[in-house]
Amino acid sequence: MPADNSRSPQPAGQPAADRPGEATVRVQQLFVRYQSHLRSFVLGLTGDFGITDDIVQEVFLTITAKASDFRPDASFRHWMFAIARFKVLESRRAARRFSPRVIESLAAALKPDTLGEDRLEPLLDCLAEMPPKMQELLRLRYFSQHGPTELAAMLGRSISGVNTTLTKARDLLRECVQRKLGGGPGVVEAAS
Amino acid sequence: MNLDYRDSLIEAWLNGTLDDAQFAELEAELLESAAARDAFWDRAAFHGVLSEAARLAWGGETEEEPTRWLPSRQQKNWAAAVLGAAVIMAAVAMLLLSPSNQAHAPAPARLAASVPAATVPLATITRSQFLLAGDAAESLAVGKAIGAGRVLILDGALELTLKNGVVITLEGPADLDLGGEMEAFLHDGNAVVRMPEGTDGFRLKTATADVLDLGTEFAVKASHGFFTDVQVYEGAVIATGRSSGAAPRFPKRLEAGQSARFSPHGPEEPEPIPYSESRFVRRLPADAGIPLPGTQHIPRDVVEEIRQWGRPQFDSIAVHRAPKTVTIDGRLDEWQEGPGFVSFRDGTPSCPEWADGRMMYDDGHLYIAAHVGDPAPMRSVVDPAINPGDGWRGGSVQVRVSTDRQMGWPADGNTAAYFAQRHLEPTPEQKVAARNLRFAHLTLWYHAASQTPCLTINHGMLLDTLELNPSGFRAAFTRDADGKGYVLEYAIPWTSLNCADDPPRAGDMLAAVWQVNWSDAAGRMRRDHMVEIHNPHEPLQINVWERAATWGRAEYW
Repeated sequence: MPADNSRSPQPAGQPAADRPGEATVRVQQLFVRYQSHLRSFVLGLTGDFGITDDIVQEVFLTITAKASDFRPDASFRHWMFAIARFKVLESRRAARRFSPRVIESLAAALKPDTLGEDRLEPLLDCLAEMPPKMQELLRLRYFSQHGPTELAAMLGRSISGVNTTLTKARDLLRECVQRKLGGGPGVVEAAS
Repeated sequence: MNLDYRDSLIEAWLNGTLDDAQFAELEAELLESAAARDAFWDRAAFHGVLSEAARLAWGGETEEEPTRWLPSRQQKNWAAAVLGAAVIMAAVAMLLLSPSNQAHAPAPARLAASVPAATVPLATITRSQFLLAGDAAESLAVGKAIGAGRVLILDGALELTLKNGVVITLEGPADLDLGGEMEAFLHDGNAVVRMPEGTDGFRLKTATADVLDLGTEFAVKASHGFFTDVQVYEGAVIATGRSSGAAPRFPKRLEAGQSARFSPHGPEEPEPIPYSESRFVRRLPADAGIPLPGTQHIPRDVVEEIRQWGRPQFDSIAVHRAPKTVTIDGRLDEWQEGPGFVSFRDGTPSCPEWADGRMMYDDGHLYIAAHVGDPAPMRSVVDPAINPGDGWRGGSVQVRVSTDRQMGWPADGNTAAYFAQRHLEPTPEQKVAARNLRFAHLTLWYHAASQTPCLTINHGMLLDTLELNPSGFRAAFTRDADGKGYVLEYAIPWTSLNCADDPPRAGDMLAAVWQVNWSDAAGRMRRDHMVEIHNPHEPLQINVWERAATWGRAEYW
């Protein structure tokens, strides 16, 4: 479970809500700060963009309602991810979803900083360097949020072909990001 | 399990293309192998970051996708919003659409390597109350992350918490352009900015002023480019007015407890105005507000439609000749022979918000009376001495009338905003019609603190002048014994309506429309409203205050 520079600045031992609404404001501000981490966590467990957005929103409402339960000396991310885990377990919308045991195992296996945003900047650079056709496929998948089945129909390709290209695109991006973080040239070397 | 095969299963999960057998294989592997779980998060986390990067990279594009393509989630949401919205508001909404709901398109050549400012998620909607969004209501739901761009609300209020901890409370109707974590432009409406402790530097601009925070909580009211009111609750700000001429203006420091009005056509120095705690909505309660009894069975979009435009049942009201003596005492004794209309806010008789509206006249006065069902009666905190233009917000009745016999019915006159929002240039005749001083917009409310009945009148359709408590008017309010409503009774001299020389008489068919506004329990924010006496030939989706043709018939008996 990731942790942990997300502790509240309030000194330990002080009541969570010394003034009405203060605890709520505090957890909402922390939520805003760590929202992208939460989204990656939920997206991994659900595999569905739409369900992920709904669950992230539900988590926000829950942490708001339970703000006074949050201990200022505790890890906010740990608390928020625990709530998110329950929300994923409760979700019945997914056509296929991991069993509770798998979700618990995966949540426990998530290491600190796995969801960090340090890869975001180099990833944007790498995206810009991708061959146009791969950029287009990534845009349709990750921005327009079309599934591979839709993409296959839209592009006149097989589902497995779309899958293969998406996997290849992600592999290329991962390598590119690693090179950029490691100080390498970071150029995507692939034909579209 | 072969590592390549394992990774291909993870990739297929992330793509959403696992079949049942493969899914079972992946689950078993994830339960059994710690290395598989690590590999899963390695790839899933990258999937998440890539999703975020895609939003940043392509979020600002607006070109159309080829029509052969299926609609994306964003496009589906937008399409639903457009279909659900009324024609006029859809046009307005399209103009003011937030970036997150726009159609996006392939633009590989324009893919930015850096983060485009317009697409970075900047804030989360942390609270709302009585909210009526300018776009689809769903797009401003609590918990929603939003990026830079326009936030338009038609009614109610919402709270935005920015990533840096700045909190903005926006009260509708309002139009805010969020530019970044440290700047925003308020086109119209009320906004309160609260900085996190120990920070400063947030800049809130309007068409007529520029307010720089020095570590504080401050509020700004932007009024259609006419003026900007600034009020400081804590700390201090530096505010600089914009001049209509070439000469720049000097900045002005405002401290806690001070308020000032900046006008481009006014004096060099901002005009001090009275400080009032209740002038702005500083905090929104965590609760979701009062539910809509009896409407739960109605689909949400219908409820929103009613909240925005009302559900008028009547297209005319009889204006009866008054008896010789009318005692203005908040009782309806003299009104028994003159029925008007009885209407329930949501159309159901069990609704606690309703109104029985009446009108009478004689040679000297227009009489208006109403019995209003209101769970929070006569609680308005809107002080007529401080913000008379906000009288409608805290619980009120508004009656708009035309006394122009030559024009008759339907009336002809539109506000400047009506034309501006529709990208129309008014004809010279329409400009003249807008300045017809035989239009009167009456706002009737009870100021709880001073126990005073209040009346404001805007003349003409430009709404650029406001008369408070005109000479000779009389008014009285009484609260219902059960505390669930009130009666108001007003006598308004024709002199105040610019028609003493030729007042309406029997047989006239003129224009009138009613709005009844219900407030929150504190008497500060409008919670709901109702429109009655509406021209059935006009679209419902036009604000009655901006187009006199929407008004129904006032038939003088």
